[in-house]
This record gives sequence, structure tokens and C-alpha cells, in this order.
Amino acid sequence: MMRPKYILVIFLFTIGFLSCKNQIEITESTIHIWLKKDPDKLHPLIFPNPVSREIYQYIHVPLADYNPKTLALEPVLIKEMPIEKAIDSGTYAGGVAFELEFKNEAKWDDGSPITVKDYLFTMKVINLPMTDAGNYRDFTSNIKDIVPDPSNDRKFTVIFGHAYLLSLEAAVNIPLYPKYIYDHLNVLDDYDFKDITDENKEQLQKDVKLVQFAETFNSAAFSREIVSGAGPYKLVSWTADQNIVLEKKADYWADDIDIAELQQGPDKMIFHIIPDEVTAIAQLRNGGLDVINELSAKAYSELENDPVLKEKFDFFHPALIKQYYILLNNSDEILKDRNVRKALAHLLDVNGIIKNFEEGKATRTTGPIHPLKKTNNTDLLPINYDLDSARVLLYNAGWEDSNLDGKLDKNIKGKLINLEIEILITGQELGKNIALLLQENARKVGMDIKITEKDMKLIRAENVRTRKFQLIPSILSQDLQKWDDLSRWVSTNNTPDGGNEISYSNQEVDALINKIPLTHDEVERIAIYKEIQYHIYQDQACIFLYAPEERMVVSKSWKASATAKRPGYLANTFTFAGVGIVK
Amino acid sequence: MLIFLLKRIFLFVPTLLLIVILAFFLSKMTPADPVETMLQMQGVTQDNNRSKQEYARIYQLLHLDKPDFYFSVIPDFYPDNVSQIIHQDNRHLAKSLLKQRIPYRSILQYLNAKDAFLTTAMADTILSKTLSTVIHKVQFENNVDQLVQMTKIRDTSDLLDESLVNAIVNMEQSRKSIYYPTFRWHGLDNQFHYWIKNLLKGDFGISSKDSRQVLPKVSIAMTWTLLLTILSLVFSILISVPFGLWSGMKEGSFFDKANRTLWLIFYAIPVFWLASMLIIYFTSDRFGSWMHIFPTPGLWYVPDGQSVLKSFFSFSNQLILPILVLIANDIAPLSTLIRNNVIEQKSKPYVLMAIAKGLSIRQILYKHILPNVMLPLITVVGGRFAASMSGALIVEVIFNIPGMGRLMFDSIYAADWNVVFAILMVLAVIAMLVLTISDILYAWADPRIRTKSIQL
Repeated sequence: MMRPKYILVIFLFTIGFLSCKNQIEITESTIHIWLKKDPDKLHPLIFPNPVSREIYQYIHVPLADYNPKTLALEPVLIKEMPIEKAIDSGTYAGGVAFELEFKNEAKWDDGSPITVKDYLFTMKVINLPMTDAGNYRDFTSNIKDIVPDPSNDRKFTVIFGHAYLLSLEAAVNIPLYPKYIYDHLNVLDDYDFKDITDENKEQLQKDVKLVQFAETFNSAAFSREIVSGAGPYKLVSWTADQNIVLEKKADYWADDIDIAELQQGPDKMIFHIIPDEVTAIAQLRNGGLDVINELSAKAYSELENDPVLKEKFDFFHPALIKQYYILLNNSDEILKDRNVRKALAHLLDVNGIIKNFEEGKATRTTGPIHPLKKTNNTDLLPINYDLDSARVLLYNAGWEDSNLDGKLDKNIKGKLINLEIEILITGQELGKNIALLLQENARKVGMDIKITEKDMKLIRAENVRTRKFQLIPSILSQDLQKWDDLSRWVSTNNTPDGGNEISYSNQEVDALINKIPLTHDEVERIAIYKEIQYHIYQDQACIFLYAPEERMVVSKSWKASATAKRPGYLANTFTFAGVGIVK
Repeated sequence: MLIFLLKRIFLFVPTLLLIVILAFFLSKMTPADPVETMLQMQGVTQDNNRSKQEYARIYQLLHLDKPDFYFSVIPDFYPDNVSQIIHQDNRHLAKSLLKQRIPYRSILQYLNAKDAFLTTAMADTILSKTLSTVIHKVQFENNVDQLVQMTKIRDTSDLLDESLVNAIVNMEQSRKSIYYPTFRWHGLDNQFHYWIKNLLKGDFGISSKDSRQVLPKVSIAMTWTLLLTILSLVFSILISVPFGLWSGMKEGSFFDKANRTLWLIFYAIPVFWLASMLIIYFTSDRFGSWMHIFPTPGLWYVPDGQSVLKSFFSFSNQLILPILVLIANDIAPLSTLIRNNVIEQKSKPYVLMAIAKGLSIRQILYKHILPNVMLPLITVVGGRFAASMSGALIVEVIFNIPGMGRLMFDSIYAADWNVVFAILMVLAVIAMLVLTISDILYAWADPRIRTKSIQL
């Protein structure tokens, strides 16, 4: 038997031998990007998940997309943006049409041109009830017909049965799939686009050929192995939970076209899947990663203030199209009083929250529309932290300290009730901090805030769907589309499975939201959006907090830029700077 | 010994079955709705006008409309299968009303009347304040007494239609005061049967998260966790055995005290904190290049054309820190166990005899005491192996090792039950195998146990 000291020596030697700090070799042609989790699927039609989008945006491109700088919808695969044409006569009278034409250069990886057949295939596959493309089906089910131009297979007309708010987005902001790959057996050729509808659902579900096609389309084979689109990069390898490698396509058709989504930058993009932020930052410091985003505020600030790192990295914090807010149950016995809701808003020092928890990188919000949008009502002023105003509002609502015990109370149905409100939070740090601040400030005006921590799924099932809650900090995710869908503020959507989770009800808002699709004048429509926000603001339906900013760090080896478009950057637009971090 | 082994193997099957049934029913009790989770992944939110249709499609696709098991024992007024109500909210409402002892027939009558009322009432796009309140009450109230109360308020009841009022009154009147348990046989058309049937064919199904086959997915993760667990245990034993032996032999000395204190400090440090500190301080030049001792973990990428040897070293050196963290937690209990056993053994007559014979301390320790202290070590190491397999989660997350702990955590969070069941079964099999092996080793190390089992 060996002496312990020998064993220790061998152990230390092993460590020393193996710890030669060798990192992966990094060249100027390869960019290393951090991913927080495995994207699970790279299949935008059935899995439009933000993590997945970070990768598939380089593989699958839509007909038109939001410009990363202007955030306006602009052509990608099509020649120009179509103009909406009203249909006055014929089968589709009352509907609208869009004429589209693919770029002459646009082609797939096998060299074949992108044609109306691919568009028809993509739309058929979305509308087929057995595929998992339910997210898009909501929009495309409004398309009544797709008419190819007999003389040009790149040109076609998309017809909607009626004027629809998001009809342009539904027609062009759809990732286009190559038919020759995803339907190489031409299964869908036997079915007319007009036959694949909800009305024929039962018949379609009995069709064995279609069922098998849908199963294959939804399968891992088309989500992880065969992933192909018209974008500038192709999938080379995917090691689950470890890394994903994309490579620049050779002889790419869009080489001479100046459109961000079609640009080719680094030869290779390697996405490293690292769930822990500390580990990812350690990799960044050592040159193992070139890009990290979605950093916590604290970590970002620490990196940004490190003088050594300032020389090696660029720091970006573009706006994020989302905002934090607190759901208030408008049907709750206490919260149905607008004064109480307003008082709660005055109890939160939102500027302090932004300063302390976001390192100052956020914008205050006053309503459901993001501050970056034209439709945002800038006349509405953020509600200030003001304990006196809160006291007055609560007094107006009938809450006073009648028994002088330091707590506000009210006589409800002959019973003296103390003002107690419950806030439901998940394990998220920010929600917890906001709840604690609210609790502390509420105590100063004689209100008790009870904090209950629960799993989000449990909150949804037990509290939100049953409307048995009072306050829940939440995130309002939004899209870049010009006209926001405000249906969640309509009172008829106050159903257990409807979007109006706070039971908000205002007849004027209902009427205004119904008026939006009927108003075609842009200026007038913007005015309606602003008026809706005014009413929601006056009602204090929710406590709108702020729109956070993305926190992204990129190695100076790359000339990079940031955008408000998710995920905050387009790595294909990065060029090698040849300076910065020594690798 | 053979009989003992056969007995163990014979017990494998029922134990596994029990674990599987238990896990299956536990999954049914979780609040997460697998359909909602899948819809969320597909981007179908509540704002989507087709969310109900999509919900129904996936609900039936997953056989969730079937009974849970082959049979059920339920109150006599319950339906055979309440899961057949596809509409999520009506199903929850029906379950809630059943708990209030309302017979199923009355519930169905109420559900139909409620749906008819809501369809008519909400046809108008702009609702008056009072009608909004009534609709809200009808939609969200699941307490029969409250519903009955609503029908008695004039302002409210005037807005309700007759069939709805009748259905509510009927529920109250038909409420059961006495009921009996009944046995219901559901046949083979049940959720458990669909799952176990495929399992017996060796098909663990596909992951609802990424649509991959479950078995290969779990196998890859298992390779990583096994590697990590075996390596950490080997190093733990290599370190804790000599330290424990010498500590026990020199009981009360400075070495003994220092040894115990040091390992106890490591044992007391939370794993996630130790792991983060090691990464922060020892994997970068941030605090001086001399502190940059270990490679940064987390990158498992093999560039094209890289040699197998280079890949092996770049992978294995990334495992040093996770192994260090795991062994830091293992050494204290193992070395203390050995130390205490040595203290117990060293006063035994055979040790006194060895000392009397003039053997050196090293000879006494390694030739005479060690075989005797190995016995409890075998049991403890077996147990720790099984525990480490399922307990490496934190280390796997922080050091970015795609092992089973991380997979299990992600799968539970995503209600990916096929993967969870497969991991549970794999862990159960490994635990049973390891415990059997440690029993065999125990018998091999101690002839008395061998003799006893032969006599039995």
C-alpha cells in the first residue's frame, strides 16, 4: 500500500498535468456566442421560441422582416413591400389583397429558385390542423386564397377574406420553408390551399397520408437534423446541451444585397450552451466567448466598470421590446376601487428600482404600449413615488385608521376590515425585490402587504385562471409589429382562458379597440391607440413599471452593433476588427 | 450467495414497477398542465384566438382524455372519467363541483346552461357594467353556495336566463349528503396502459420538449453523470482512506485535529458557493495570472480535425474543478467513518498482538486494520454512489456538464414526463445494482457473512 503523501503527490501531479489551461482555438473566422439553454428545436413555424430564434434567424428568413435599425417591416426575400388593395367585387368582395414577388436572385441551397410553390407549401403546412404551427395558424387562417401569376412563378397574390389588422404581417412575416426538403414526396401537392381549412378539419385528420406528413413535419428529424432555409448560414452540427455550429453558405445568392438578415459575417458561428452566468463570464474573460447577452444587471455593471475589460470588450444596452408591470385584479373586492389601485402605484419608487436593480438602464412606462412605438402616448406622465398622495387616495376610497391601531381599516358589510393585500411572486429576484419594497412602503401608510411565493405554473392554474389573486409582478412581452393587438384589454376576453387576466372592463376602451381595424387612416388610428392608453392609465388597470434594456458584451475583436430587435444583435452583420482581446 | 443474488434480481421487477406507478401518479398530481406547457413552447398564448382548438388537439394526442389507470375507486356520484371533458376550465370546474358533492348529471346540466348563457351574453361586443359583473361571476365562481346566492339577488338574477337559474338550483338540491365508494373498471384504454405498453416494447417514447427519442437522450446524459460520479468517488476514496487511517491511528494529535477541521470546513461550504468561488478565483487572470490555475469549464466543443488525444485532455481537464467540488463534499464523511473505525479497531486483541509482534504502524494499519475498516466503507460508498448519481445537479449546472441531474431538472420544469420516468427508472436500476454489488463485496470482504448466507 502506498503512503498517503505519494498519493497526494500523484493527485497534485495529475491536476498540474491536466490543468494546462488549454482553451479551444479561436480564429478570426469563428465567433463564439453564449446561449443560456439548449434551443430544443430549430423549427420556427412550430417552435418560435426566443432562444431558438437566436440561431434560426440565420437559417430561416421570412419574406419581409423588421429592419434592425429602423424597426420597420422591410423586404427580405421579396422585391418590395406590397400595398394593401381592397377587393370590391367577385368571390372575395370586402377582402383585401397583396401582390408579392420574390427577388430574382433568391434561391435555395440546391440552386433552385424560390417560387410561389414554396410559399403555398409553407401556408398549407401552417393551416394543416395536425401540425404544431398553431401560433401562425391564428393569422394565416384569415388568408382565403393564394393566386399564382400564370406568367411568373415568383409572383402571386395573397387574398384575405376581410380587412384585418395584421394582414400584412400574416402575409409576409412568415419564415419560408423549402418545399423540396420539407415535402420531398410532394404530399401536399395533392391538396388545394383552399381545402386545408378548419371547416375540413375532421376529414383532414382522417387522411392517413396527411397525418403521417404532419407527424414527420413535427418530428425531431425536421427540428434538429434537417434544418434548411433561405438564410445566409447552414446548420453544421448540434451536440445537445453543449454547442451548435453554423457555417456560412458557399456562393450565397444574396452576396451583393444590402439587407441585414441576408448578410454573411463570420465563417462560422459557434453557440456554446452554458446555463450558469458565472461560468459564461469566466469564459468571456478568458476569450472562450465573444458575445454574451441577457446578462444580469449586477454582472453587466461589474464588467462594464472593470478598466481591464473596457479595453477588450464593447458594451451594449439596446432597448428591449418588453416591459415589467404588476397585474392588479380589477374584480377583487378591494382593488376594484380605482383609488386603491392608484394608491398602490404611488407606493412604488420605480425610479429607485431602475437605479438599484437595473443600474439605471431602463425606461419608465405608463401603459401597455412600448415607449419605442409610435402609438405610445407620451403625454402620460409616470406615476411618482408619493406616500401623501397614496394616503389621500386611500382615504377617498374609505380606508382610514378608525381604531387608531396604525392600520387602515374600513367597515365592509358591518365588519371592520384591515387593509391587507397579497402579492404573489415566483422565485425571480426582481419580483421578490419589488414585493419587498412595496411591503415596506405600504406599511408606512398603514397597509399590510402579504408576500406569497409560489411556482409560476401554480399561480397560473390556481390564481390567474380563477381570478383569485390581487397583485402579481409580471412581464408584458411585445412584438415589433406596428399595430399592437390590444384584445387582452377587451372585457369580453375576461374569461378563464382569455387574455384579459386582470378582469379589466371599460366600455369606452372596448369601443375604441373595436374601432381600430375599421380605421384606415394612420393618424386617426394612432390617436385611438393613445386614447386607449389614456383610459387604461386613468383606470390604473395595472401598475406599469418600466421597459428594461438588453445587456450585451461583445469582444472588441468584432465590430458589432446592437438592435432593439430580439435577441439584441445580428452576429451575421459583425465584421472581424482584428484588435482587442488577445486570444 | 447465488440464492441471495437471485432473490435480489427477483425483487428488481416489482420494485421498478412500484417506482414507475408512484412516479406516474405523482406526475398526475403536479399543477403543471403538460398541454399548456407544450402550447407555450409552440408560442400559442392565451391571446391566440385558436388556443382552445390547439389545446383540444394536443390534449387528445397525449391521451389525456382517457382514464388514468385500469381502475378507480371513487364516490358513487362521480363519473367514470372526468378527464373526458376536454375544455380545460369546464374540467376544472367539474372537478371542483364534484368535491362539493354535486352529482355529475347536475354538473353537466349546469355546464351546458352556463355555456349557452355566456355565448348569448357575450355576443354583444360592448358589455354594460352590471352584465360584465354577472358574466364574471358565472365564469369564475365555482362555489355552489355563492352561485345560489347570486340567483337570489334581484339585479343579478334578472340578467340570468331561466335554464341557468334552474341548473344552479338543481345542483344545490341534488347535493349528496351520503355517498358510497364504488369500484370502476376502465379496461385497457387508459393512460398508464398506453405508456407501459410502449415501455415493455422498449419504447420510452419521445420527449415533449425537443421531440427526440427519450432513451438516447438519457443515455448521453447518463454517460456524463457516471463519469463524474465514478471519478469523484475514486478520488474521494484515494484521499479519505489514508487520511482516515492515519487520523484514527494518531487520535487527538495535531494531524487528527487539522485533518478533521479541514475536511469539515469543505463539507460545510455549500456546493454552489464553492463551485462559483473556484470558477471566479482560479479560472481567470482577474486576480493575477498566478491564480489562473484551472481551465475555465463549460466548453465542450471539438474543432474539426482536432486529435482524439487533444480532445481527451481538453475535456478531462475541464472535469477537474467539478470533481474537486464533489470530493470536497465526500471526504469529510468518508474519512471520519474510517477514522472512527480505526479507533474502534486499534484496541482489539489482534492489533495488540500485532504491536506485540513488533510490526510497524504502517504494517498494522494497512495489513491488519484496513481490511476490517473496509466493511462499513463498502456500504457507505455504495449508498453515496447512488446518491451522487441523482445529486450532481448543482455541479452539472454550474460547470455546464450535460448530465442526468440537469436533464431531470429541465424535464420536470417542462413537464416532460417521458424523460422524467426514464431517468427515474435508470436511477432506480443503478441504485439497485450498486447496492447489490456492495452486498456482494461485503460478503467477499467478510467471510463470516459469506458463511452465513451459505448456511441460510
